[in-house]
Amino acid sequence: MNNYDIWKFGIRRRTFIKSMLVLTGAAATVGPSGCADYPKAEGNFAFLDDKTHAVIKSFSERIIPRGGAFEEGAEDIEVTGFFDRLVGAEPPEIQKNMRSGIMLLEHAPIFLMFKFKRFTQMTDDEKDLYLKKWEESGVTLFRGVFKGFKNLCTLGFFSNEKVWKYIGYDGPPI
Amino acid sequence: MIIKSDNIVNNVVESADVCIVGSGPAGSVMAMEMAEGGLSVIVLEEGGHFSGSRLNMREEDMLPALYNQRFTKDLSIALSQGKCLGGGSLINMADSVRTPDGVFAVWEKKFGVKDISPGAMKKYFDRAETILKTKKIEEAELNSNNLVLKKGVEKAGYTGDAFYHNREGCIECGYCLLGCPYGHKQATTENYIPRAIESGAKFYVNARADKILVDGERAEKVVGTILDGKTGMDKVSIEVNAKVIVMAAGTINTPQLLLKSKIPDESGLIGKNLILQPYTMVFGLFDEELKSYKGIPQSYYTDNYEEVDEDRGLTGFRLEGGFTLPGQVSTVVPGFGEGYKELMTKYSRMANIMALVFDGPDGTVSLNRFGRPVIEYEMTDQTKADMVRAMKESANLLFTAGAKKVMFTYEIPAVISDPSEISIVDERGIEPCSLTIMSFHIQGTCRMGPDPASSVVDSSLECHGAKNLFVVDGSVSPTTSSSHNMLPTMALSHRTADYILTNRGRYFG
Repeated sequence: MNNYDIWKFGIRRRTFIKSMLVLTGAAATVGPSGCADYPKAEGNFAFLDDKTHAVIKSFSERIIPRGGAFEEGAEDIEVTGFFDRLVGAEPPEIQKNMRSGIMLLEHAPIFLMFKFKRFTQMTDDEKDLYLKKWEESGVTLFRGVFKGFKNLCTLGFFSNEKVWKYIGYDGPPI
Repeated sequence: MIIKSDNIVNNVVESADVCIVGSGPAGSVMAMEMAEGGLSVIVLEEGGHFSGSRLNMREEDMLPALYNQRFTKDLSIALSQGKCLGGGSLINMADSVRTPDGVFAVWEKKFGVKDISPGAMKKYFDRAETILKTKKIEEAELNSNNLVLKKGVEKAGYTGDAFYHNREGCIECGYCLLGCPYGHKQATTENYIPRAIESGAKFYVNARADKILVDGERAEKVVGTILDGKTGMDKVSIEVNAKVIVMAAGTINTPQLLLKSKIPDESGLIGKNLILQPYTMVFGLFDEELKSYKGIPQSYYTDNYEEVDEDRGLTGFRLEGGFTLPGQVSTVVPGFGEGYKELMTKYSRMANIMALVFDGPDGTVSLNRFGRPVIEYEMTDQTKADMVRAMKESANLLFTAGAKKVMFTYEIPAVISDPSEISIVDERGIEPCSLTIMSFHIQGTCRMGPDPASSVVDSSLECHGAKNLFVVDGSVSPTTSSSHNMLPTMALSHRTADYILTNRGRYFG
């Protein structure tokens, strides 16, 4: 795997993210995606708004989809609530970085797959291909963001007792 | 007494002989020793107080409540520290490992630290071990996960042994990392802290220290903020005037506070020389059900690959058992989607080996524009080579012990069925954010030594730049003190307490 640490080329992470967001924003005006409404996030959230909630919901449902080894997936467990609770407790500058990462996830298909679609608009197969590109990216930041978001989702999912029976975990004694 | 923020509505102003920032292992030692020495003591602890039924053994509640989870700037290494009364002692795996004699020799010869010989330190280790009720783990107490490692080690003809640990009456439930609700793990909340309280010490929990005010070369007071226990929001201020101030906030928070406070630092080394002891995990997948999460999580190790170098101190790596609960394991299992779910269903048939690498002082802690710590660390070629070797050796041991498959924690799945495939580790190497790497034993950012030009604190752990300001946590270690640094940190804290009490006239009049 080629590995590009962008800041070794003198590019700061903040600059990279901002540049990517500007470029994806510009590309969004050219493509048909426009600025469509996002579904209202059900519940009280400290960090996620309707848009970021939709992105993380879509993300978590591909990380832990329904079906396969067992029926339940992220959409059956309160994964976004867990994500929100943890990130909501972080300092403001961390939350800002997380928000930037989510925006990049939503708007970067144009660069990674040449698709004029937002992540939340893609089909499941397209989403999986797109997330593979994040997972295997030659850019450390992309891999780091993917892994960080994935970890929050899986931690929320597998610490929920509804799924313990599928993995042979008996739960705590108290 | 333990003072909770629920009961505080007005700004707090206190005075004491000693103010200690941080109630982890080192801070607890100082609190007890100073209080039992007849001094008035106030401790500020940013985290909350958890004991008994408040430790509910559920990851979704306890991980956010008890841990301070951070990442290096490039997101490649996850750092975990305790943020609660008792600090790391509440959430660790209760291993008690002394500093190897050769490491003290390096500290003396290379760094010029005085009175740090094994002979001089023995009484401090003895004292800590007595209070912590340290004893060796029995063969019968090795759980299935650690027995897998033991089997592999013995078949391979390597050296290995059971850990010494600080538990008493342990019922081997396996939830050490989420705090022991039974009080069997001898965290400092079971011994040092109650003794300190009995001698009059006051512990403010949910109290964050924000700055140390220094007048010339003398530290005068600690100013901080009382936080709401539920929301973490700022409530009111707290100010503690003290004749002696002790920093025990940990290797990241201590330099953060010293830098924010602009403590005079001739060496320029506050925040430098960060040691992470990075580790990764390798998993074996077995046909039989192991339920590796049950029992004492970490009870066996092999030291076959570690040695003390005259220049670098502890080098090489250690392999140890250390299985955890499903939420935490889920964050190291590779891939996503249906393949990932399939792997997770193997949870009860997994065993793991933790590969702990002894690195050098290769990182730094600095401040961002908000005054919060930025952690930068780049693994050296030597550390990477050691980690690769550790992963390969772990895989070999797991196959030797009967694993049908071995899973590395590369994010792109690397699950192999035969030892001949272990070379995948050479192909993939160690790239940032491609492999799960973590750190628990963080040290080095306020190095000790006699020379103010090349150290932050002197041999007694007093700041060169501010008399009556001491640092007693893991940040003082010039090289890694041990494979598990709780006990060495506590021994050093006992030593500094001894120094202060012997010279009490100088500090307290």
